[in-house]
Amino acid sequence: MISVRSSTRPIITGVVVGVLSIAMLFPLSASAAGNDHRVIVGIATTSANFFTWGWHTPGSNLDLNTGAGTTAGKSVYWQSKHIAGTKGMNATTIDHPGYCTGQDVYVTDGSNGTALGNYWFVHISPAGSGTWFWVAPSASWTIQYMGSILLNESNPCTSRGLWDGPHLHQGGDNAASTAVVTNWGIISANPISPTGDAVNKWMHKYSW
Amino acid sequence: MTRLFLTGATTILVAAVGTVVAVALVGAIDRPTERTIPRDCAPSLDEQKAELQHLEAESDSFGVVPTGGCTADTSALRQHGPFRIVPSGYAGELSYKTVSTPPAPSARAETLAEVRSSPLYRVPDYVPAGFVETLGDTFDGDLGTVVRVRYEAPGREFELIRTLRNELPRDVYVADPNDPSTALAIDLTYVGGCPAFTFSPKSGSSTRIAFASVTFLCDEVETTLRSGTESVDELLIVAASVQEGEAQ
Repeated sequence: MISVRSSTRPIITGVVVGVLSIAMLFPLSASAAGNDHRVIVGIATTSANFFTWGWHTPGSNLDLNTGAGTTAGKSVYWQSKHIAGTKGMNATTIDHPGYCTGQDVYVTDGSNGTALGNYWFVHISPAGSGTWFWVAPSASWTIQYMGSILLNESNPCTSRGLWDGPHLHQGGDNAASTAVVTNWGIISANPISPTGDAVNKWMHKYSW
Repeated sequence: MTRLFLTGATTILVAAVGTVVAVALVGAIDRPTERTIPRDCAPSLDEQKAELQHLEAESDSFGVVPTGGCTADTSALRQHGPFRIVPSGYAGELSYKTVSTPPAPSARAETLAEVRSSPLYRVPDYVPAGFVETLGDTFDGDLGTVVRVRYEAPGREFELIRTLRNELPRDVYVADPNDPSTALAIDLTYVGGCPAFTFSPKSGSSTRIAFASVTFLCDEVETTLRSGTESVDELLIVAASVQEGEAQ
C-alpha cells in the first residue's frame, strides 16, 4: 500500500483535477489523430435481419436480408460515414474472384496509397469493376451503388450450403495488418435497426 | 396361379418404376442444368436518393451514377473464351450452364498448411525475388472449390486465388470505360493459351489507383493474381509460370 503524506494530497488532487479538466475540454484529442470511416449494412433498407450463424470468416462477414418483403433485386450500396480524422480513402471496385458472384472494393489511404484492407459484397449482380470513388474526410455520407441482390446463385455456390435464398454476404478483411475493425456487438439484437445509425449500428470501420 | 401372376406383375412394375427413377436420376446428374437471372439497370440519382432517404444524405454524398442508360440488347455482351464481359449498362437476362458436377463439399480453411492440401493449390514456378507465402485460406469456398494464398515481400504483396468454375460462362462485370471515374481498364488476352483478362490503371484517368490483376481460365479452373504493388506485366509473368506448371 502506498502512503501519501497529508501535505502532498492537495497538490496531487490539483494535478488530477487539472488533467481531468483538460481531458473533458478536449474529449476527441486522443482520437483526433486517428481516422474513422464507418461502413453500415449495404442493403437499401432501414432494417436488416442477419442469419443465425452471425459473424463468420474469412475476414468478418454477415449474411443479411430484409426480413419481411423481397430481398432479391434490392439495391446494395457502399454506405459509410466519416466520424473522425483528416484522411480520406480511395475506393475502387474490383472483380470478385471467388466462386459466388460479387463485387470487391480495394481501399487505400488517400494520402499515401497504403492498402487499408479489402471490402466485399457477395450474392449481388455487380455494377461493374473499375469504378473509383472518394470516401471523403468530412462529416457526411459516402454512397456508391454496388449492385442488386441476386435471385439465384451460381453452381457450385448453391451446392455448398452457402445459398439459402436471396441475401447479401457483406464483409471486410479484418486481418491485423489492415485498418478494418469489426463491430462484433452489432448482432446483439436481430434485426439490425435502424441500419442508418453509424454511431451504434456500423458493421465495420476503417480506423488508422 | 393368380398369386403367381400378381407376383410377376408386381416385380415387373417395381423394375419399371426403378428403371424410370434411375434414368431420371442419371439424367439429372449428367444433363447440363441451366439457370437464367435478370439484371437490373442501375438506379438513377433520384432513385438512389429515394431508396436511401432515411440517411438524409446530401446530394454530394452520392458517388458515380451511370448516365448512359441501359440496354437489354445481348450484342452489348462480349465473349472471350469462357468469359462473358458484362458492361455496367447491360440490363437483360444472363443464362448459365452447369458443365460438370462439383465435388462433394469439403472443409473450409484459414491456414497455409490446410490450403496446401487442396487439389487447387499451386506454387508458381516464378515469383519476384523476396516474395514468400504468408497467409492462406479458402476465401468464399472450401478446399475443393477455391484457395487463396497471399505472398509478401517487404512493402509489396500479391494474392494468388484459384477457383473451380463448373458453371459457364464466367461473367466479368465492368464499369463504363468512358466514365471519367473509371480508374481501371480491362484488357482481354491469353495466358499460356488460356483465355484471360487483366485489370490495370486506365491511361488518362484522373485518379491513378495502383492496382492490377490477371485472371485466366482453363479446364474449369480459374487462376487470379491481384496486387496493389505489382504491375500487370509482372503478374502476367507469374501467371504464365502457374499455367506452365499446370501444363506439365
